[in-house]
Amino acid sequence: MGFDNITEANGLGIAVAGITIVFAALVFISVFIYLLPILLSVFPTTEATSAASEPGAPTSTPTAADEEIVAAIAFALHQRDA
Amino acid sequence: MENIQQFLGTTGFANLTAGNVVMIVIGIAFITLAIRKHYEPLLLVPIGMGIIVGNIPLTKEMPLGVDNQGGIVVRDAEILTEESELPDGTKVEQVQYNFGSVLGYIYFGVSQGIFPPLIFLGIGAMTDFSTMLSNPRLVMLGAAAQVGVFLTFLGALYLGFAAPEAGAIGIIGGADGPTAIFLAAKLAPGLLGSIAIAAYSYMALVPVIQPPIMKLLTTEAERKIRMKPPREVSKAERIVFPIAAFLICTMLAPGALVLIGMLFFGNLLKESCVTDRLAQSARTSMIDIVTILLGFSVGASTAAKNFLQTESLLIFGLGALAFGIATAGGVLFAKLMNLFLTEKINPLVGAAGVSAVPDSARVVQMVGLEEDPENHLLMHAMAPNVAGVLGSAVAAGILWSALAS
Repeated sequence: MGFDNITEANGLGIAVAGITIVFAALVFISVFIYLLPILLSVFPTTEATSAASEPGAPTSTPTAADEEIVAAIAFALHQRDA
Repeated sequence: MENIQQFLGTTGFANLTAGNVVMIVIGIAFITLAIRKHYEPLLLVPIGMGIIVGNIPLTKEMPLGVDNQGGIVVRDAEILTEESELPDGTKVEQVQYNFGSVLGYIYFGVSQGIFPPLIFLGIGAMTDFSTMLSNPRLVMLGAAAQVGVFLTFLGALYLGFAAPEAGAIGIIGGADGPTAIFLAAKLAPGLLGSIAIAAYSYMALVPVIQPPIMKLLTTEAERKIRMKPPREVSKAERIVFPIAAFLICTMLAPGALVLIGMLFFGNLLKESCVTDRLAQSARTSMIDIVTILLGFSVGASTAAKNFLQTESLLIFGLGALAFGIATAGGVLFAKLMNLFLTEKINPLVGAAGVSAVPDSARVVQMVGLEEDPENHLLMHAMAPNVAGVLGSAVAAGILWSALAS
């Protein structure tokens, strides 16, 4: 009971270290959040890809290579059925 | 005739104590508060009903209750007899529950700290960190409010509690029920019922406790401060954040691994947009089921003979103190930050640093609207609110690491 109990349990040390670590953790998180948009602009992400894969997102225009593949598949199917 | 007398001797009426009556009245009061005042009904109804159930007097022959009434003892998943001593010679003092009691088995999830991380998973899956990501300065308010945890820890030590018990009592100031239960289960299982009830009671009473402190510590002009609307946050930021923040928190405080890990795992399920089914389950069915089991079994653990002790009253007093200091800490720190900032923060949002998601943010909105009906602070208050969840989980991890031995 009393201050003796606080001293014996090293209460003050634990309390000071505890609040310091909590502040340190949230300061690091805060700094990271501040830097995050800058980091993401330096290292481009897959945002465009992920946006395209979302439902309702516009699909990409077929390229010439795509059209050749479709034509090849259609020809193969035609040959099999013939 | 003898049989009838024997039967009457086993009824609740024959064994009812004044303490049981008091606890049943408390249980009814919880349910009334939930229904009439809408104070945390999802928690207070299960807890209130649990309190009533837990205070029906039982005989030793009937394995029905949560506490040890001729039951068995479990430690580290190993079932021991009641008289067992651990290999190092210490007496068994860990989890005790009734063999064959359904309530005892459900309570196992509380006493072993299984339910709180699952609740954190659900919270993570429903939390939107965007407001915090759009205004990183407000994160500091979540840290400032944790001063209540550590000052109450010192207060509990001063009142003669052992260090692990003091740590478990202090975390009530984090205003986070699952965190309080988790830490109490690890550090002070004997006080778990009192700590859980105190934590949830004060969380439910946020709209009553916080406004007077907020008004006392701020001027009318400060309460009218308007803040800039939050910026739009990109999807990439929201996906990267849970992973990075998890690494930062657990590298500094590994004790927070389970709670923080589950919180951010749940958030990643939500933000990744590729695990919608899992996120949906975590934030709806799963968290509801766990809340029912946790609330009811915590309530049922408050049998009068264990709960109505001087220690419980002290815990309630210290809990109120913790909550008050935490609220004041957040508000005062916001005022301190305003001394250095050009874009001022409305100090009311500091009160939301005590966690208690989302009630303390709602209280900030309510108090702000009283001063200026067009000043909506809810979005701003959500930032310190979710930062408070992180802060209290980190504080719990630190206390667990420091005091477990």
